[in-house]
Amino acid sequence: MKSRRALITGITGQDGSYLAEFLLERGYEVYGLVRRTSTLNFERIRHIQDRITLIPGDMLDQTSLTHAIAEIRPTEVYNLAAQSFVQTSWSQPVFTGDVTALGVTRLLDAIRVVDPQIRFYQASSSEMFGKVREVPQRETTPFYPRSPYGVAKVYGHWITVNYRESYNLHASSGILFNHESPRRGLEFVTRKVTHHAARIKLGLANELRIGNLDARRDWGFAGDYVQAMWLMLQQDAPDDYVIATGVTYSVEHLLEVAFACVDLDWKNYTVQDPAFMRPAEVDLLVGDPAKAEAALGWEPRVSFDQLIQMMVESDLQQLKNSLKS
Amino acid sequence: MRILITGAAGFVGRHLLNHLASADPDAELHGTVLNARDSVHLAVVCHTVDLTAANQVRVLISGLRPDRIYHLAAQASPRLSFQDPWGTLANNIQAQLNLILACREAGIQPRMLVVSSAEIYGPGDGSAITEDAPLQPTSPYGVSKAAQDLLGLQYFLSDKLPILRARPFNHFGPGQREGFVAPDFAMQIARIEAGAQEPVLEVGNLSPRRDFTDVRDIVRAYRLIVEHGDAGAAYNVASETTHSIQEMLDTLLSFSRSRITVRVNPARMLPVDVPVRLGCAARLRADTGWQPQTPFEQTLLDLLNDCRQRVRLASAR
Repeated sequence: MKSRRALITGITGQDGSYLAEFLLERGYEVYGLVRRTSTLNFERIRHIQDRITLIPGDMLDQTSLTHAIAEIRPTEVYNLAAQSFVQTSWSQPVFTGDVTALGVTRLLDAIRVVDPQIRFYQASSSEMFGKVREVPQRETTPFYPRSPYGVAKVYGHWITVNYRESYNLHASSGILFNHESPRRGLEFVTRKVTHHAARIKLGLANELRIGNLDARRDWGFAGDYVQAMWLMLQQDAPDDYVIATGVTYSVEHLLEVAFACVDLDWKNYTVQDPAFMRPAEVDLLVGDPAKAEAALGWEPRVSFDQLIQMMVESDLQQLKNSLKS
Repeated sequence: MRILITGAAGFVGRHLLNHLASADPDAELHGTVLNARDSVHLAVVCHTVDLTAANQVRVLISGLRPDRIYHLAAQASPRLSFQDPWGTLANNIQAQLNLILACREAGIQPRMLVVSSAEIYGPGDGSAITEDAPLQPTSPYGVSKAAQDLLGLQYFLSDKLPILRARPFNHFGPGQREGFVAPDFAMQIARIEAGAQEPVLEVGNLSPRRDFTDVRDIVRAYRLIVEHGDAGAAYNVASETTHSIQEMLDTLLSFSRSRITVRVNPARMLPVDVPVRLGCAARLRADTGWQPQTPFEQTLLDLLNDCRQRVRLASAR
């Protein structure tokens, strides 16, 4: 069998690290694209660093991307690179568009030029639905992004569709709803809660300040979601898929589960703080994964409660380790 | 709490952001970068700002109204400051003053860390330098830092702005760019190991003894100063022990299996090289409980591994 070779952009992120692990387990040669003058944190891929090859490339530099594709000749390319912090997309809208939107075109064009047989995955996002046009959201739901990041992702999504239709590329796009893991950044509410629950349990903190308790989200496990990315590229025909659990939980439920993991009652440690309240949290983002379930045979395996438990345990372990050293 | 870090993409800035993200998980972090493409991919809201442009700083500060400011952005190389003294002075003083004036104009009083430097002190006699030692800079960089330091003091005295001054001695660690002695050595070793350089390591003066602190210990000190220090005070940040450049070189070489010849290059000598610079961090320890934690050898190993990574990336085709 022809050796299978994957190139992942954004490999140092949460999804990149899970995807790299997943592909390594399946016998892929895994390459990661990183900026030459990278200021990135390699923490998430440290444990697999000896088994992957990092090569330089910049989503802003067409030549570097074409060169990387030509050099590696991957069979599959996963584009997970983005300026993905929504708040920064407000202060850096042009840069966000350059990386997150035009970067997709650069990568697709590199594939078109070097080898149109290469299969391509684009990381689209539920942020594209923004002000939602229907509930739940599916592949046919019109986009209405509400941030420069969301707008850039919509461009990336459509240029993927456009290259698929215009050049017959095997280019697919996964519209992923929130997906969490112990490798999530502390700025995300799930990790903020699990991290605080662990800190409070260990006596390192005594309260958690949080915004709306009734905000609801469709939260899945990142490890499950990277499998969906891979499945998309194993299909005969490329397509777009919503990847979600289809179920939402409230922040209050998240608190209950996280604090129950450390045998505490969240009500005794949580303070609602207007500073964390978001005014426009009226839209219900919830995905309908029916198409992915039917066509890919994909379904989430880790339940919400299991996910939160996994995150709390990991936070406890990390904090204990750092206390020891 | 809203925290602004200038020079967020720099060597110290990236370590400080990592530290603040775990030490203050609730804080809202903002950073300035000179170029958008330096944006840091942490949970940091990045702003492209030229700090020497007063109007840009005014817009940033009046819009953000931060509770804390860590002013790290600077031309940070004494060596480079001899090549471009005026550029170094203008850049470092303007950025500092623009930030202070913007806070005054916005009517806010954030606790602001001015990053001064041990380079403001004179050669001394080799004994531990306290914050009361005379200012006697030996490079244009040192003068620029003395000016930043004194501007901080002056606006504390004249306007009661809660400004804190950190006077770090030499700091080093992973992520440091070339132009400083530790990464200069480590990058050369990494290149030699990768076959990208002849097995000859070029060095400058090896006899000076310096007080080296791991950058991760430095950023911990910065936060402790901002949160617990006395407004208006200056704090040395130092490990209170010295190592010679020779010891640094020998330690780095001991981590490598390559056969490497050491050669002195006069171009790497500084015009004035202070023989010994040792800091006294008693005030910092007393006021904040800070202690350095990372052994000298560990920092060098982490730095060398980081340089190996950088060389791998640079040499990959």
